[in-house]
Amino acid sequence: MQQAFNPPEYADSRPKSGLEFLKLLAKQQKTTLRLSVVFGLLSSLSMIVQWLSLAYLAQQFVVQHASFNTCWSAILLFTISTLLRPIFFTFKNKSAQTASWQARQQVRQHILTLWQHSSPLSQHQHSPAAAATQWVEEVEAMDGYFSHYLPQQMLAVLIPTLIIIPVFYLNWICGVLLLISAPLIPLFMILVGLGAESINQKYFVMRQRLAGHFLDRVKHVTTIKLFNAQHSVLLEIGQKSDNYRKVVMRTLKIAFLSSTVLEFFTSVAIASVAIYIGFSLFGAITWGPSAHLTLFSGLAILLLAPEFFQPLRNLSQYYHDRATALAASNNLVSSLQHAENNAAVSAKTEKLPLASEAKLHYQARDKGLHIVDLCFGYTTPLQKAINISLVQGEILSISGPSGCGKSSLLHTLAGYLTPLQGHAFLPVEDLTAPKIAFLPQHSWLMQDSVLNNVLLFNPNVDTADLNAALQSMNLFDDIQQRNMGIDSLIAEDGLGFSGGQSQRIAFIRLMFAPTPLILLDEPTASLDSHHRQLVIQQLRELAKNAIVIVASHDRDILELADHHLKLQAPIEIKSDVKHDG
Amino acid sequence: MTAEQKQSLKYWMLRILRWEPKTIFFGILLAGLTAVSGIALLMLSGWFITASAVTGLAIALGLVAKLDIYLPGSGIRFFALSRTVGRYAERLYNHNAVLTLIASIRQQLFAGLISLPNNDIKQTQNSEWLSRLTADLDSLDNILLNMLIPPAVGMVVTLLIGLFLSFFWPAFALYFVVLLVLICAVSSLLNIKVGQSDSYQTAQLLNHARSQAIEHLQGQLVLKSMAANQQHQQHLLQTIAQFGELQNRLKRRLEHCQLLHSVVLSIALIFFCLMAFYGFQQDYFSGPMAVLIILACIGVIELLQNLPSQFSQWGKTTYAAQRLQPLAQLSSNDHRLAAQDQPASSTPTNEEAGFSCIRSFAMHLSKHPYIPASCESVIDINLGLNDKLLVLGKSGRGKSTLSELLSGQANVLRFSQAQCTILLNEQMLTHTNIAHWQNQIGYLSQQNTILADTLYANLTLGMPNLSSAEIFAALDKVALSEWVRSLPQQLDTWLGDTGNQLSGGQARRICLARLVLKSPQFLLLDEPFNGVDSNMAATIWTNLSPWLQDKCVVLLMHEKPAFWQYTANPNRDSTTLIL
Repeated sequence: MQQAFNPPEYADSRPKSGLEFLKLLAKQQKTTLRLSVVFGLLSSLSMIVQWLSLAYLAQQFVVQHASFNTCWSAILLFTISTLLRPIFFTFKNKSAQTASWQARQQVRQHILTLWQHSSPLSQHQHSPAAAATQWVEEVEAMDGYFSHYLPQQMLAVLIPTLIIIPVFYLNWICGVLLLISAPLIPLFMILVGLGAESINQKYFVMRQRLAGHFLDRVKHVTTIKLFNAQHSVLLEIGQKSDNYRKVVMRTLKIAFLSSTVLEFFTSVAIASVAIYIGFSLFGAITWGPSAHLTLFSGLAILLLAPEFFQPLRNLSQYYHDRATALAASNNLVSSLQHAENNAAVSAKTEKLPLASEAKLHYQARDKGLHIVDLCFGYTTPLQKAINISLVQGEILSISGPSGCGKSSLLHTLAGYLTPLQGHAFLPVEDLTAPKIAFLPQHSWLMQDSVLNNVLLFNPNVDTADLNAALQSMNLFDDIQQRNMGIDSLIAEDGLGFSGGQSQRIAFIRLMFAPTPLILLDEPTASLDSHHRQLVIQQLRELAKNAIVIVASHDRDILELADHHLKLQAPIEIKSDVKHDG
Repeated sequence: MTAEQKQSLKYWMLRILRWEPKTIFFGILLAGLTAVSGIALLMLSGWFITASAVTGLAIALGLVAKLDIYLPGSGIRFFALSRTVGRYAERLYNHNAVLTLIASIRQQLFAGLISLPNNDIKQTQNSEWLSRLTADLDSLDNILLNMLIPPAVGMVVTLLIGLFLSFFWPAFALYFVVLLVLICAVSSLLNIKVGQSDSYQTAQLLNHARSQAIEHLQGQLVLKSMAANQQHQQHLLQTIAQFGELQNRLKRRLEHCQLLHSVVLSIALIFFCLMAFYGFQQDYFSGPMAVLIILACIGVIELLQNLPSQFSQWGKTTYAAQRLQPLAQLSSNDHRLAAQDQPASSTPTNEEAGFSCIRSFAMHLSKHPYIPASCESVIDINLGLNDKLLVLGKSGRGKSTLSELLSGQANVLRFSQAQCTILLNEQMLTHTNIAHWQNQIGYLSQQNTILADTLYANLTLGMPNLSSAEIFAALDKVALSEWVRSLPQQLDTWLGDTGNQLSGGQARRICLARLVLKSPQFLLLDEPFNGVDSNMAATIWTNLSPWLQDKCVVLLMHEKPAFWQYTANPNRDSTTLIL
């Protein structure tokens, strides 16, 4: 059911706005959406037959005083069309839902691919929670657009056209009446819409501030309590919510007029059609086609008149879905553009993993890691150019005051950050195997069992090795004491395991999947002296078959290292530069 | 569905119903009258057309027939108008009601939140929790907008039209009401039954997918280097595929329920139409009356068409209801809360009176897991009214943990007495007096908290009666007053997402100025000059020094700052603790 995903599709015509993006997605679901429209039309066709046959029956029974026996065919037609109508309607909805699901799935795939192609550092700029919400909720918010709005947009034109034909056939004056009102409705709705929009604009900032007030205060509840302001803030929440209500109601008073316009036209159409037909049938109006009106044609027109407006009314109901989807899509497009630019930079990185352009190469040339004239940083170099060569079995330690770029250097070596100048080589024989392992300062564990976490990158570890590794990190007893043992779950935020334990679990994972180059960021920061020694000991073991680069303040690690790189505090720090706590 | 889930949905339903029964009742009445107007418009129109046709024919045949064509005409115009106006009024009224309701629920939830212990509040500070809260709050609308109003309106209209029809053909009216109510009841129950567990589960899966996506993004540093993105992505894709499967199944099932409901209603419509014609043939009533009955049935059935689908969100709403209930219930005893807020104003008990003015603070710390120094030797901190203490520690040495402990933000009471003891006025810290400590300290945590509000509101948080002179005096101390004076709106400048973007240094200084205005006896400053350059830091410290003189100050820093030497009081001990 799910179509293969192909990113270049988007690359050719990169959507600039949320609306373009939605249209692009809709284009891909064209067939399914059209199917939905066809079923919608069939349902309307049944409805027309249904009301025509009912009107015919009324004529037969009431005027002609026919008996049931003579009307069987009309009764049958009425029954069949009445029953077919909801069946076609169901098919219409089902097709639209399929289209919606496929479209949403495509967006999700697209985002995932972009995530995969962009540097991990770029995602950390936004909060992962916000990005995840986008991936889950905002994509979900597009559902209504595809499953309701889009098919209805076409039906709102097609169904009235379908209905106007029999009405014209029955009585052209009523046909003209409906036809005149049809373009008036959008006109009035646009006028109302403009009015609502200008009011919306007027209160836009105020509305946004009031809407965000509650969540903002919830977010800062700790500070509010520290300043003993909880009671006044509680009152404030009531007050602001009330103001919000007032502002929203001001907009709604105008916005609801648009549905009132529709309601008005429907009501007026029914009323005027009914009065015209009634007067004609009574004989009070005699000119034009009035003389030819019968109860059949009169009742049929009366029944069809509200149906003429119904698709438009539905569309205006679904208009909300469009607004929601558009907001979500605008949001997505702007962050996708960000990610796409980022992915474009590291596009070539994917082919030569972890090297960017010609600046950072890991090639089989000379044995060992060669860092040549390497300058790193975001826009301006954080340090002087670095030159160093390391061979297997060597450990390089990096130290320096905070803010000097220890982590940035590791990120550059990992290929997450494009070097500003210079390059690094790493010869490897097996080009398919991972070349670099990275252990970040805040250890990352999955919400899964200890076992699955440890074996994430190498599932082929036997129990003896596993136990030995756990012993070597002094985790064996801790884990055995738990009910589930090695299958104990690591909950969200590493809950249930301390920072130090998490760090050591992450370290074991590294031990099981050694790579030619191992980068560690403060591996002993959250450990006490005993566990620090254990990690250092294992670091020595790891270094036997790899090149190890450690950023650390730890004196013992500095002693262990063969080479030492001492970074200086960056040359200038401007005051009031944005600083993340 | 478990009893617990049912109970939480019931809790919210009752909460909403009891909130303002009159408002809800009036909303239902208004919506019901609007619907009745619409149906009456059709009924009267149909009757009028048929009556005219019959009379017209009679006159044409030369029979004596009379029909007042003007009265029904004005009736039709009246209903056309009342339907339009009613619809507008009803929509405005009910939207207003929902917004008022949400306001009251927000207040209730916030009251619950502030009554939580500090340690629990921490878990609510991540953005995942916050976005969940928003989603859950949105789902609560469903209860009023979908589960209460439309079914009530549907039933009211069915009964009213049934009552009207009973004047003409009581037996038919009875069939009409009983059959339609039965169909709607069965369909709604079926809808709930078919949908609830899947809808609950989809809500759950979506939540799960979100946390997996967060995990995936957080793991990028590790996963990307090991080229393991594809592998790890599988979990995420699996969850979302599972979600899709479930959602599609749910929608398919609901669609089938809807189809069943529509088909049964269609059969009922066919039955009613034939009944009406039969009644006319049997001379129970006139031809126009038969058409009126038919149009009444069409109108009511049209209205009831979407009634069961209002319950399709049952499971999802239950999910939200269940999660919000504990927080909402916390606020049930508001009075206790108010008393806690102002310990000074409420009549203090003897035991409490001793803490309204804290004169000394002592902490004893041993073998705390996150503070390595406490494992090597015991840490003892003793603070008097104007002592100065400098705490130095590199990152990862537990500096922040210590500041959380000192400020009472961390759950101090969780530890055994040997591990961590805090004495206030030489008495043990307890659950009752911890609030006094929290109220009497000024704690500047590492994170800057800037509320989305004006600069004035940010500075005067919890201190409503400050003059602008006082505020500018405080701003002078943190060297911000010139900046504020240069702003077009000065103290009324809006800060936060939709307003002025602050640099980290400015935000820090605003937080500091807020503390200066609160002017507590005990000050706990965790890296107060984060993001502020060292010259500026020294200037601010010099400005603050006279004010700090007779205060107790605990300063937590990475490194010993140059300005510490000339801090205030050479006579008194200003000690240094190195972590």
